[in-house]
Amino acid sequence: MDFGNPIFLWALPAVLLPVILHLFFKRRKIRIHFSTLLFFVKKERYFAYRRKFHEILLLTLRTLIILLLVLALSHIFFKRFNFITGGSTEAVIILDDSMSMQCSLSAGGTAFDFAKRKAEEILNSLSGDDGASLVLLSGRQGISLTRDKAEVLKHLRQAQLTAATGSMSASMQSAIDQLRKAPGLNREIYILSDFQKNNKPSRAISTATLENCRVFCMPFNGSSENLSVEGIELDSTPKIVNRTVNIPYKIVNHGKSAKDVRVELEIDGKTVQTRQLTVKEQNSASDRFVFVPMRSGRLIGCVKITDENIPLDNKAFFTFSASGGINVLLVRDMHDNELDPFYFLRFAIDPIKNNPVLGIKTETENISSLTSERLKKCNILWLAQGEKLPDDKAILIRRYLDNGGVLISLPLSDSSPETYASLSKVSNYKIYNVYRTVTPFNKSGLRFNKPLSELNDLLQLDLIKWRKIQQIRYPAGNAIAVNGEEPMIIEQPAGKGKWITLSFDLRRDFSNWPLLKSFPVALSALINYAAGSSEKSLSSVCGENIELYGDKIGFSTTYGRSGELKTGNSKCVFTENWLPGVILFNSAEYEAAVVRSDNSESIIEISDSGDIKSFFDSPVALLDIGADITSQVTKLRNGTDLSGALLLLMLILLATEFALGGSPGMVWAGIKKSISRRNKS
Amino acid sequence: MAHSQYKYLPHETLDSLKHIELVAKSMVEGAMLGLHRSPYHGFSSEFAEYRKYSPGDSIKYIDWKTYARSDRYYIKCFEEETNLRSYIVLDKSGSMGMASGRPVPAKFNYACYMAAAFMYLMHQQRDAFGLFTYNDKILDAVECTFSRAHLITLLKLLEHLSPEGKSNAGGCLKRIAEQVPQRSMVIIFSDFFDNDPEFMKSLHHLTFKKCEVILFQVLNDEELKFPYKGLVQFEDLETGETIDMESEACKDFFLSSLAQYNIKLKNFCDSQRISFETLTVSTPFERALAAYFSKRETMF
Repeated sequence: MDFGNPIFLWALPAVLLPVILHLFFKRRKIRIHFSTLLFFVKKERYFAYRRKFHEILLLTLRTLIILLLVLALSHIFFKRFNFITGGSTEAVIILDDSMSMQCSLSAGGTAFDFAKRKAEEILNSLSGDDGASLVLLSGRQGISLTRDKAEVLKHLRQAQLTAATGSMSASMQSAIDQLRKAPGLNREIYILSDFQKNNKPSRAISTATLENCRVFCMPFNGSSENLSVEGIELDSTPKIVNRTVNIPYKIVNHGKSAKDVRVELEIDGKTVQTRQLTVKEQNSASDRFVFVPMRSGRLIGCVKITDENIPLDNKAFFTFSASGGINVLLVRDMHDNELDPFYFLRFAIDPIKNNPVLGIKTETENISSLTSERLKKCNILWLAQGEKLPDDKAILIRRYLDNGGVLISLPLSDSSPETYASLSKVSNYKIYNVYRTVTPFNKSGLRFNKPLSELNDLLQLDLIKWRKIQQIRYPAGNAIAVNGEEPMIIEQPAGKGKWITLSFDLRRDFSNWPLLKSFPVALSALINYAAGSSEKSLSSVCGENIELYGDKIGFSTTYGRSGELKTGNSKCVFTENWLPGVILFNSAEYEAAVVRSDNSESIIEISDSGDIKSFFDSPVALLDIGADITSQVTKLRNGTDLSGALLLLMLILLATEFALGGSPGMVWAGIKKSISRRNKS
Repeated sequence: MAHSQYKYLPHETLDSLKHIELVAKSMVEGAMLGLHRSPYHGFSSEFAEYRKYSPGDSIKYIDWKTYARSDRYYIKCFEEETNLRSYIVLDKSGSMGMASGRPVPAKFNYACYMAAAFMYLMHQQRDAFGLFTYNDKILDAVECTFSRAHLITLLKLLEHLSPEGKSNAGGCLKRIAEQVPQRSMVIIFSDFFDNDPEFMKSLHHLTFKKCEVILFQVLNDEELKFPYKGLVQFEDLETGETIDMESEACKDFFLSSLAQYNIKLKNFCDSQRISFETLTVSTPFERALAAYFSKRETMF
């Protein structure tokens, strides 16, 4: 509250005048001891109450009339916020650049473009001494408080939409931090956003710590009709040339009416398949494309739909590396020249040489001639070792595992716990030597656990007769197959790769399995499972940082950006992933990253004015985006002159006072009239 | 009694009561000879009727002149005259304590003056008299006697009475009606502001016992004229309940309600052959008494 002519406030004690007069002329109540109240009817009390009420009403009216007159003469202003006239203003503009701001407005254009124009209006309303800054809701770099408004305008015009979500709390905190350091006496925060419900802070944001701080909210409400494609998750099986790859997708209709939608599968920029779907309102439709890669190497694709509202969520990207087949390097003990431990395995998984019908290619190598170059070319190293593994080869294998390689080991007749002990020693005991002693084992059957448990129903595994096994334990691994309580195949992580350990050999010394029909099926499934994790890409959401390890890491994106990342200690963070797509990296442990849009931003749920106010625990002003921003802000800064309204109210009260009858005589006449009317009736 | 020192029986009263006789309207049963007619026919100076001679009757009461004319034996009957048993009932409830601002006695004092006068009158006629006082229960119950000492005792008792408490006229009169003998006279002094059906039943009980009942309603001028002005808070003397009233607004209603109540009570009394008199405390009680007795004489 401010007063234009505060000198009139000295007349405020005059409001006591009616009270004093009332007390002076107040009728005294006589107390009479009467024989009986039998002949008084309780309703007769009404007249006493009515008269008393009338007196109090008149007193109140007269007091209010004088009070309103004094306030009107003192020229009272109502201000919702403190504004120090003559002081400079520091304004922080929080611009919502999250994906939902791409929604179309009824007036045309997107909410984001309209918000940018309104932000320009705000900048233009500031005077030369005022400061301004731009904070982007997504967390993208804005500009700190500066007197150079041209620079702020430049940043504003360069601001782009992201497919990320935003944090209202973090943006407000950034704005508060900037304003706290600013020298201006008046502080203003302008929030231009669609105020999506998913952006509502878990706790109301407080600006109470900032003096003279005003918050202005400008809500932009666009169409809530939207279709989106959710992020695609490919299965972990190896992708092999000429073999089918399943690409599942899910189309979500967030709108209030059913939609027909054309779904396209795009690989390497070319549409390869299309499909027509109808998606019900507030519902989703799932299906899959079946694609056969015709070439090896990395393929980039997307599932896309055509929808006018929020185009950023119309594409879901994926990438995978297709290989000519799974390269399995079979390495055997150099002393074991007479019996080939992979004899049955080779027939099972690669029966026709140079024609990998199962997509698995095998090569055999002696342990003595194993090199790192050979290891780089293989997907799986299958090791059959009888005697102790040499230390230099153990180091070689350990490096292979550290880089994500897969080792499958099996015992031979002369194996002992020392056979693979060197592997765990060179790994500084992070890889466990799980092998124990070779013992007789007269049992039958084998049971696979997840993820190969489907084989249990498919194969006659109960026909397997065991003769002996090399006992194994699994302190930190996962049992892939068991016989009763006895682990038969286990898996343990090793570096970035894994070590799969078999407790039996693949000849007939340990069991009759190599002669059974289930053998080739189970082992090719095991190889497929083992090679599955060779995909060197990761998945990320827009706005999330991607940590990478490597030197001189280069990158290129599907939306046309490329460059080299700055690394320190062989580590760098990729931060500019604001749009959905695929980022390819060079010289990093990951070859690619799939960046998808934030699903929560596809749901257009706009907060109403009450909800917007509940974002904050201090008063905020909602500005009408359809009207001129400058005039609205000026009005809020200066406050509203209440003199006219108060004078009008005073006149109404004065008329009421006259109507009620200022003189008690008139009132009494009214009461008498009503009594006589009642008596007549 | 020539020089009365009793509060409720001053000299002026004694003088004005000299020539008054209170004769019972109906026949009464008394143990001694007196002014009043008895239902028992005896042999005194007042001739009542003839009746046929029956064996066993004393032959000295045979009217020989009638025998000479009619040749039949008739016995000459005379009315027996006896003394009266009368009870004075005094309402001692809080409502009887309502005093007006002017120097006139409160309702209760006025009732006491009246009661004292009646007791003196009874004593003079050698009639027996008793006293009951009540509010929500019977407080004093003095049996009938006609001695001078009894009169003095009761006059002294009246001087020590003061009105207080709630009224339960219905219940108290019912018990009094059970106690008083048949054909007594019951004189009740009260304002009768009891909206209680039991009260009417009690009066009916008394008349059923062939008692002569006289109701004296003692009222203030304030109750009859309602002279108040402005905002008044009325406090019930019996219950302490208060009510705020615009006196001008409720005056007409109050007066008409009181009048209707009194008319209803009077009609009931008439139907039961009960005397009902309204007395105003501003009227000197000697005058009120004289007026009542002159009115009573015309009733016989």
